[in-house]
Order: sequence, then C-alpha cells, then structure tokens
Amino acid sequence: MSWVQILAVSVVYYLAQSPWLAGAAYWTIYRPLVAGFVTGMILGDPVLGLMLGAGINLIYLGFIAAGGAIPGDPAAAGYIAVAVALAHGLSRGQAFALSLVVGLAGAYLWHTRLKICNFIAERAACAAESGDMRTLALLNAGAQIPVFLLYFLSAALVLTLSEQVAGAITGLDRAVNGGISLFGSLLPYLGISSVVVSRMHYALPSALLAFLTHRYLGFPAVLALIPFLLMLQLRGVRRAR
Amino acid sequence: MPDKATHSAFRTWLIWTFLSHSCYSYARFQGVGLAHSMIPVLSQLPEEERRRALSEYVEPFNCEPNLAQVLVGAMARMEQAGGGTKARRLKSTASASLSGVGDSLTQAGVGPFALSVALMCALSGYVQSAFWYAVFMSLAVWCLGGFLFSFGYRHGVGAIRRVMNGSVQAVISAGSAAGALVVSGALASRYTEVSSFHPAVALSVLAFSYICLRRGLRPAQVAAVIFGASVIASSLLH
Repeated sequence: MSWVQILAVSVVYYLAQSPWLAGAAYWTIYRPLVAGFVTGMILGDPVLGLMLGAGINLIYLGFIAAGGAIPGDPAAAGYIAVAVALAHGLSRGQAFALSLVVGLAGAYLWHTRLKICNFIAERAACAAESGDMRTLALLNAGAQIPVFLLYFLSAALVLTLSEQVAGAITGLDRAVNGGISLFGSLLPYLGISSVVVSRMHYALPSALLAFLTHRYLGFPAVLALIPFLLMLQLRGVRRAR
Repeated sequence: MPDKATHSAFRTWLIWTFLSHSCYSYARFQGVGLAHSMIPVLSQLPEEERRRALSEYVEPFNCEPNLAQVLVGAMARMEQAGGGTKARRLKSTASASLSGVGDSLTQAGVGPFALSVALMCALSGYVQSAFWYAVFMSLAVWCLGGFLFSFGYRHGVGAIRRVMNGSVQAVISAGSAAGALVVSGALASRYTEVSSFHPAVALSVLAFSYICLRRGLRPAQVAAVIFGASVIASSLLH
C-alpha cells in the first residue's frame, strides 16, 4: 500500500465515524458493504473489495447500536480487513477472521472515544451553566478533533503495519491457517443467525423457508414470501394479546 | 424571505442534523449536541432564563437521532413561543418512547431490510449495489429528518403524539423487519452458493449458532466454539 492509499482509507474510516455527512454516514460508509467497495476503489480492485465487504457485512448483519452500546465496529472490520486483504492477497476466510479481530479492536476505539468526550462534555456543561453559548458550540464541534486523531491515527498505524498483520496470519502452521480460513468462511452464518434470533414470531421456520425457496426457486420467489410472513406476524401479535 | 423565527429554527435543524453526535459521551450522550442545537432559538431569551435553559438541555439525553428531529422541532417552536419550561419537561417525557419507535423503525426495520437487499445484489455480482444503497439511505435519512423536524415545528406536541402512535410506521417497521428476516434466509443460501459449501454444512452451522444464541450465549462465545471446531476439522483433514 502506498502512503496516499493509507491516508485515503484512514480518512474515509474517520468520515464513517464522523457527523459530517449529516447523519447519513452511519447508514452508508459505516457499513462494510460500502466500506469494502470504497476501499476496493482506493486500492484498485472495487469488485473484489465489494465481495469481501459484502461477506464481512454478513457477519455484522445483526449489528444494532441502540442506546450507545456497540458490539464491535463494522466500519473498522470493513476498511481495515479489506485493505489488508487486498494489499497482501489474503483469502476470503482469512479476511473474514481478521475482520472479527479488527471489529473488536474498533469497539475499544468507540469506548475510548466516548471516554474522551466525557471530559469535553463536562467542560461544555460548565459553559452551558454560565450561559457561554460560544464556548459550548466550539466544544461540541471541536470534539471532532480528538475523535479524528483517534480514528485516523489508529487506522493509519494498522495499515502501515499491514504487511506484519498479514504475515501473522499467513505465517502460521498450515493446519491452523486452514482452520482460520474455514472459521472465517463460516462466520457469516453466525451473523445471519443473530438476525434470525429476533423477537419475531415463527422466525426460524421463516428463515429456513426463505433459504430453501432461494435455493430451488430463486430470489424473486423469496420476495413473494414477505407479505405471507407479515400476515403470520400480525396473527402472532394478535394471539399474544 | 423567511422571518427571523423560521431562520433560527432552520439553524437549529442544521446543527442537530450535523452535530447531534459530535460530542457523544457516556456521561451526557447527545446532551451537548442538543444544547448546541437549541442555541439559535434561545439567543433571544434574557440572560438568566437562557442560562437555565442551556443547563437543562445539556443534561443526559439519548434518542434515536432521526426520530428525535420531531422532538427537537417541537421544542424549538415551544421555546420561541415562550413555553420553555414545558419544552424541557417534554424532552424528558418523550425521548425514551420516541427512541423505542425510532429504533424499531430504522435500526431494526428499514435499515436492515435495505442493507440485506443490497447485500443480495452484491453477492449476485451487481457491482453498483453498494453505490445505490448509499444513495438510497442518504436520501432516506435526509428527507426523513427534514420532514420530521418541520412536522414537529409546525404541530408541536401533537406531532410527537402522532409519530409515536401512528399506524403507518408500525406497518413499515413490521413489514421491513419481516422482509429483513426473509432476505437474510435467502442471503444464507446465496452465500452458500458463492462460497461453495454443501447446504448441509450451511444449515447445520446456522442451526447450531441459532440454538446457542437462543440459549443466551454471546456471539463471541459461539464464534470461539466455531473457531475450535474449524481448527480441529482442518488439522484432521491435513
């Protein structure tokens, strides 16, 4: 990876965590699908980037960040794992396994970010109590400076060491390496199950029916299942009442 | 030319849209962002009143940011009309239930459904899917936010009540959650084809993860079990 590419991926990774897209970042470039595509464009292979990003997004399919708690960082998984995989030719399974580790590290960054903002928020509260609107506004917007440094520098550091990161995976014993690849390739199923474990009625039979319908009848037939499932839901809700 | 009140409400919307999560913290969540957003509509108040209002807005506040637009709009109107105390009481009573409605509409409903359809297209080799997904979601977020803010600004508390009890968003939430579930089943099948696993392997891993998660195991614990099994399987094969 050239330093321009490292810079570009790190900046987009920060943008995914930032408010500068008017609230849309969380729904777009934060998701591994888009992250993989963007990283692929920066590194010169958007199609492979998209396929890796889509697979990593399957792992994070059940991701939901309600109430500030965050179980892993899909954006870190998307940008960092895809960039390392594209630059050093990791297999799909290796990239997915790496994305899990990177996602956990990203959750730690999120935790650190909120802790840093605790300090700034206390200063901002003092400004609010003394009616100082200018300082309050500056502190709120200025909180992005440490957030930028945190995310940008972490991503740039890992990407600069990407050769060592990739080497740590590929340099392992053949059997262990095969295990990691297999493990990574199986992870999307875990992500999909976390969606199926929902509070919906008949969730497991519906998902299995969709699986078989897709396998034997194709995707359009799956879409036809949605109204049927919605009717089942309404019946379930009525019965529960 | 819009009048001065509308102009300051527009600035409130702009600040909330861009900076609601800028200083998101454990101690106050979006409190600092909310206080910053309310500055334009508070700047006309007398010093003492403004100080009290700001110190109440900076208190912990956590709400789904898109649905919160209706609340921020309603509070901006009430502050301008001189009902500041009522506005701040509304903040504490409405935010939790609005957040619940918002999360089931966006985080568990429309968001996952749109994403899973985009993933389906991507895994089927449609390269532009990521781009169109990003365009669709951006437009959805921006339009919804603008609409909800102006709805709240025009109708006040009535707007919040209608958003919380409306049947349209209940149907959208339920429909898209059902859609997300069905498409994720199809995604499992598509991924099995792409990665050329045997369907029996796919279904057994799916069923195993489902049972574990259902019994209250954490995803990380299930992943650890799958990792162990993969390494053992791989060393037996080599």
